Amino acid sequence: MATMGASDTDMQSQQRTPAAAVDTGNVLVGSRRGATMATLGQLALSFGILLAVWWLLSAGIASNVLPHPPRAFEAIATLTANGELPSALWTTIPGLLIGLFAATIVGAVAGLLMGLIAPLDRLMGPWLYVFWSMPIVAALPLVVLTFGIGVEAVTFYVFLSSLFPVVMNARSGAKHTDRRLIEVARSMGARQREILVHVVIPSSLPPMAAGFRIAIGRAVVGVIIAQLFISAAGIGRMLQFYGETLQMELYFAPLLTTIAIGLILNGLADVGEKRLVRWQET
Amino acid sequence: MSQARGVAIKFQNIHKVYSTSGSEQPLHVLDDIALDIPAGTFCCLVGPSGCGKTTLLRLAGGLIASSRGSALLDGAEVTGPPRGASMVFQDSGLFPWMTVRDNVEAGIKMREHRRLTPTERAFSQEQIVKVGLAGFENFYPVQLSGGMKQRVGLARALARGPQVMLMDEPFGALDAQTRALMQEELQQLWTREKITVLFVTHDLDEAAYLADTVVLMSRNPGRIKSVINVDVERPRVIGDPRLAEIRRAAWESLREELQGVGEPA
Ligand SMILES: Nc1ncnc2c1ncn2[C@@H]1O[C@H](COP(=O)(O)OP(=O)(O)OP(=O)(O)O)[C@@H](O)[C@H]1O
Ligand SMILES: [Mg+2]
Repeated sequence: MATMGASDTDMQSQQRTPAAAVDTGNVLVGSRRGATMATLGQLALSFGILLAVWWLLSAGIASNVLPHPPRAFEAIATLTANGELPSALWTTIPGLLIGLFAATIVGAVAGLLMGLIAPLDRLMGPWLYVFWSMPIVAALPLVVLTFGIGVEAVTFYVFLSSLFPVVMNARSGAKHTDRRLIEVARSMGARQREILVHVVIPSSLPPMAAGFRIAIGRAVVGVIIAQLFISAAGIGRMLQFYGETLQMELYFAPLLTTIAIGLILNGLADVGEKRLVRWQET
Repeated sequence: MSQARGVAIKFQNIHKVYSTSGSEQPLHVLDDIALDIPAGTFCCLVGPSGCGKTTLLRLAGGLIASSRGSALLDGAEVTGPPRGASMVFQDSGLFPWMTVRDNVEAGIKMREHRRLTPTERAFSQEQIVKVGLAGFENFYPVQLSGGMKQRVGLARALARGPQVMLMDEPFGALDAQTRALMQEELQQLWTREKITVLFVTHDLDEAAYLADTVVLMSRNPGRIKSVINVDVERPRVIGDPRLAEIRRAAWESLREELQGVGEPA
């Protein structure tokens, strides 16, 4: 078989280094290692400034509200050593992760189905807007009546808090799948299931990832609220106790821990998203 | 033109009416289209915007049904996307989440509803090489130029080993130089493969250069206005005076259709 002349002018420049051009997200930074180093540097700078502002505020005008940073970190060490923080984490993390995970799976399936099946969407779409507008906190009494005050109630509350952003985005992703690409698949003889797996779901992944990010934030807030109002346990309980007794150094330990949990989950989402939607424009 | 294999694509008195929603009256897009395209020939479809070229192509590709009359591919009535046909789209129609290789293999995978055999995989790779994209197998469409995307679309169509290729303005979005290059390459390719091609274009030079027959359409409703045979041996050269003569004849025939609309791009 003969080869078509590969003399396309716009191909020439890229053809010399086909492998190097793959996966380099940032055009300004040559290699991936370089890009990672630059990101880490920016991250360090960003947190450095935040820490400096905190330090200055705690030394100056906000000295009676904000603890001195070294003493806050000391408090973390103390609470870790005496086992209070680890045990609070152990009561908090499983409910958070299970609730968030369940919300992601259920939300993705429900959202995709709604986006794909018009009658279902007409039936359930309005409910979605009802729950979207309703403050989830209002469901607390119902959650307690149904699940009691244990870890099940906390988990379910996390689930409820993080469910709707995922549903919303999966639904809109499925709805806005490029009709032309569906037609391309049809022209090849694809069946419904293949169109779903090879066209609708991949094209819905970016909005679903965005929905998952919102869900992370809501799940973290949700688990704290549930522990404050439902079960008086874990990180939420620590925040409440040290807050009410005005022990600010000790109060900052669970607060910083909560922030760290959110940051770690977001970081993991970053990594996952990069792998899943590599094909997107940067 | 000299093939003895018979008719590959046959349009039998096709009518297509779109019933638009609301108060508007139904839109009569295709009116009594009758056309035979002999096997192994290259047919270009030209006509003013909105005359129903894409509609006719989608009918042949089994993506929509006619209101009356039927389309036949290799003698069999088209009732759904035929196994032996491949479509090529103006915007390339590549799946952004698939690499070049996965895009090319998708054409077979979605037809057979299974993974590819080693033979099919090797054949797909051959097509990638054939369109000059060896080394780009793991690239995503976003990393390719417009010309390269169209090459992938072509490789994907060829990988299905089609008897018939239905191409809807495949080079319409390319710059002039890339387009000329792609035309030359398509001519070379087609001369070797002898696939039957139905090719929609707005470019009369392109039509004259590529086609055995140029079919000119008129609109409101879409009808076949005239058919011009291009009896120029291949390989053809862009700028051949005989092709210029064909272009002039086609333009004469189209001019009245386009009054008030301006010359096609
Ligand atoms: N699904 C549809 N529903 C209703 N009307 C349609 C539909 N598809 C096409 N049409 C109408 O049919 C007519 C022909 O459309 P078609 O896309 O076949 O034209 P075309 O010749 O390919 O035009 P162009 O050269 O601009 O691509 C147009 O008036 C268009 O508005
Ligand atoms: Mg068209």
